[in-house]
Amino acid sequence: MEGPLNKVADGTARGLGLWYTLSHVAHCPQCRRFLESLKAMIGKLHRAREVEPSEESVQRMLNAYRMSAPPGG
Amino acid sequence: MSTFGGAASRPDFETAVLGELGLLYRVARRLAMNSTDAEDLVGQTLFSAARSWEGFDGRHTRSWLVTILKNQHLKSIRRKASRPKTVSIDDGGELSQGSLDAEIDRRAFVDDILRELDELPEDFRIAVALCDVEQMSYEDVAAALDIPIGTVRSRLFRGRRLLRERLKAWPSDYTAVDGADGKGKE
Repeated sequence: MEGPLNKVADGTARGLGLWYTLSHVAHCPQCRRFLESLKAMIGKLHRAREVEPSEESVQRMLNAYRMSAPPGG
Repeated sequence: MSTFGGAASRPDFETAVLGELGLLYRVARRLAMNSTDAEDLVGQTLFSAARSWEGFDGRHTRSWLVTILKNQHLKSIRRKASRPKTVSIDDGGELSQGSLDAEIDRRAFVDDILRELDELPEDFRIAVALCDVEQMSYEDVAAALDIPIGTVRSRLFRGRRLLRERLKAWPSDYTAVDGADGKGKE
């Protein structure tokens, strides 16, 4: 069940697969806990997307390209 | 998914890549393992992308850039023959005084979970970083890494499993894992 539970957790499960997995989860405490913890972990990983490079870092990265880029590139 | 409608609506190179710079930097951090090398890697990626820009069809810009980033990383590994294992906690931006405490807590949390992610083998680490952190579709990740979608799923699910194992050791509530393991493979 790990694969179907992963797909439900990240929202990619569809149709019959989604229905079957959710039906199973409704009657299986072990899979329900697994799904809940997986969703929690994925949700926390989403928060890591908030990390943005600092303005100085952006400038350093762009400068590295600009200094070596052809004119008009 | 980043695509352009056609040549007429195609932005210039810098406009196109600026919107993806955060993603490129975060993925580079997962690959290079420190901020200095990550910046270098993104700089090399931008240079290489700029040289290919005229021949690029403008479809799936994000996947295209991640592919270049991955290839630049492989080149870098070959050049260095080894990579640093340390992870620095940095990249601080300007913080307003009022939100300082909350920002410190948030960064500590994010740094902690990313530190655990960085301990995974690279194939699994990048699958989790692209799918779960950057929230790219399986299809885009498959295109970016030049692997089948089934392989993306396999690496992602195994990466999540490994990460959960690491997080289970934490005393905090980073995960709600409470012995609910024992799931068999599909």
